[in-house]
Amino acid sequence: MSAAETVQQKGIDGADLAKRWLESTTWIELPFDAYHNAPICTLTRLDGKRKVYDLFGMIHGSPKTPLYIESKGYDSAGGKQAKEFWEFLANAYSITAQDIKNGEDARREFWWITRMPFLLNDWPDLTSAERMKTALEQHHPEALAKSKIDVDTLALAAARVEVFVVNRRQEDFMLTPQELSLVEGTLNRKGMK
Amino acid sequence: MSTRSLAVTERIRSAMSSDNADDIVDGVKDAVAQEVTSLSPDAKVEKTNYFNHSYMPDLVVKWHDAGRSFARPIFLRNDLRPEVTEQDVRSLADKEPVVLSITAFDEPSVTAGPLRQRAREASLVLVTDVVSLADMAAPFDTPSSAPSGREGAPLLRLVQANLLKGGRGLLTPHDVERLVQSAAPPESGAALSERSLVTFQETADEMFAPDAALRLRRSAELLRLGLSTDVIDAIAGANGELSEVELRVLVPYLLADETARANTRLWQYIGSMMSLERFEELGDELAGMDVTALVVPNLEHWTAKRAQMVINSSYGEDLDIEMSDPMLRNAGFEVDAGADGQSGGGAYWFVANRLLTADAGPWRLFVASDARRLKGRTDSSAANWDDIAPIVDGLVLDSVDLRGLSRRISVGAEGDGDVSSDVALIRSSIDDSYQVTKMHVRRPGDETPGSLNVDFTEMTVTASRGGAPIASLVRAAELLAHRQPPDLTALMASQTDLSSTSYTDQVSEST
Repeated sequence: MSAAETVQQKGIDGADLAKRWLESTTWIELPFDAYHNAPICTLTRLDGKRKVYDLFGMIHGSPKTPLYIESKGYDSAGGKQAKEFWEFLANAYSITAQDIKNGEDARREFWWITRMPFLLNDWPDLTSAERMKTALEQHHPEALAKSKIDVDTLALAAARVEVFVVNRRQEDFMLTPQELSLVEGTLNRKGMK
Repeated sequence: MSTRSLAVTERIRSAMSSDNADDIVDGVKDAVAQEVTSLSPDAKVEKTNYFNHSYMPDLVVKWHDAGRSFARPIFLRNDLRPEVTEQDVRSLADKEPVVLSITAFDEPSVTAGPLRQRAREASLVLVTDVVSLADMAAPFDTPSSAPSGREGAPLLRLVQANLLKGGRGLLTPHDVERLVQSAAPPESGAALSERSLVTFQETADEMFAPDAALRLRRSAELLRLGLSTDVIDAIAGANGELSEVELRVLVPYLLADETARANTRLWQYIGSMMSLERFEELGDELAGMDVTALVVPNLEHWTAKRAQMVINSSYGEDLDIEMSDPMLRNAGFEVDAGADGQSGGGAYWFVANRLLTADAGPWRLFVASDARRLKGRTDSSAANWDDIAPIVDGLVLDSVDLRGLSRRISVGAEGDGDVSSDVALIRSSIDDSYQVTKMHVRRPGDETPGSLNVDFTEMTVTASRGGAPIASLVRAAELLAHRQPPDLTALMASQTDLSSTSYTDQVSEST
């Protein structure tokens, strides 16, 4: 397996873990992934660039919230995670702005799921509007497509971005599929009753 | 990869490339459900509101068998990457599911990998891909592509029908090929040779849960017993009940085979694993077939609740019933043709409207496991005692209501007792003409409690709550046909032989 394939494999494994973990909350379903359903996992920024997310699904509620997952399989500090996170923030703003420009806010949420924490000194502010602004102005200005940052959209997009750190051992302490299937109907998260 | 596999994988690939969630989910589920239905036409495939979910199934296969309901969940997966699938096998094992990849699975090595090992260890988890399902269904779908005669192989059909219900372990296209070869070897017909039978049993043990494997083995042995010209000594596991799909596949196939039809022992085995009720459920499959070979050896074993005699309107169309026996018309039957007063030949059992039926000369006889299915008439004539007395001979007469011109005499006994001699005494001492509308009889030796209620007004014979052997009902129904006694020899053939040797004796002799 080449280095690139190894990285991709870790990404797939990370996405699998993220899917199982998030679905075990009973609030979330992630039926689609970038490797098998690329078109539905792809969104377009203001500059026309397309961004493919690792997983796509829904947060149950009324109404349902579209959820896009960026899954990272890093197993050591450093690397490109901090750099990629700047782009993640810029993309979240740019895609939200593009939705609004198209006439409808799709209320998309963007979650960064990683197995390794990063930028620990900045950790409390990783998803702040200020940091998203920095991402757009200093790291990925192309995502703005020469438009000005809209403060309201910036606040909206920042509120819809989250970072989660998942430990592989968490899976050992999740409810089992058998247990989850028993409560699924009673909880009725999908609102089918 | 078969034409069918290519078609279904392309259908799924096309659905998966959509940017609309509903199109993806519906497209994939429809494609998979079609393969499931093709393999198990008797099952119902229900779609859930989930897709590719960690712990909720995408589809549920539901089926009924012998009055019981069964279900097996199907979890769709994008692929069968070993690490993830092993996790699924572990975590979902309690649900005894089918874990089904919607893309082709290429096992990395011919040697058993960890996934195969893990899937084998789980008691009832089937791990497979849609290509394998389509390949398994392909012999039905493209008969021209299958070697001559194999596409209709009954054992293959049973393997197909059982795959999603009782399959287990890892099933790849390679395994499917092995399974098809063992169920329908190219060198033999539906009757497997001894060697092929061993190979099939080993394959079935490997790929099916113990219960399903045992059933398949039993079916293979029944086919061998029925179709082979070799002398077969014994059938292992010939007990319990045949499943609905086994009945639907095996019974019509074997009834259509001349060698099998002549094998009474085969039909005793099959009859011992079913009932008249299950037989009636097969009605559509058996429509138009002569089922005498199956019914006759089981006349004593199968119980029924009611029999009814009616006029066989298709009999003797060139004869005029009024010239031969005006009493039939006087009895209230609507007939457009009739008999010449002689017993008809060539009687045989068949199925009509899911009822066991026989034509015997001018009569048509219905036998039902549920008395409500035979309503009977309300206006048929009473019988004259002098006409039926000779036919009662040989039966135990429990009670009878004699209606004379001047007297009405009810004759019965406290407890079990034959009142025939009492009736004869009354008949000889009191000069009158006695009509009978109802009487209760028993066949000597019947172990079932209660009498048979012979009702000449309804033209029915009704057993008590527990039912009675069909042979007893047919014997009593002869009373109803006293005006033109039919020849029931063909319908009851071998009863004489069987009466001297019980079924249990015959089985033990053969084993």
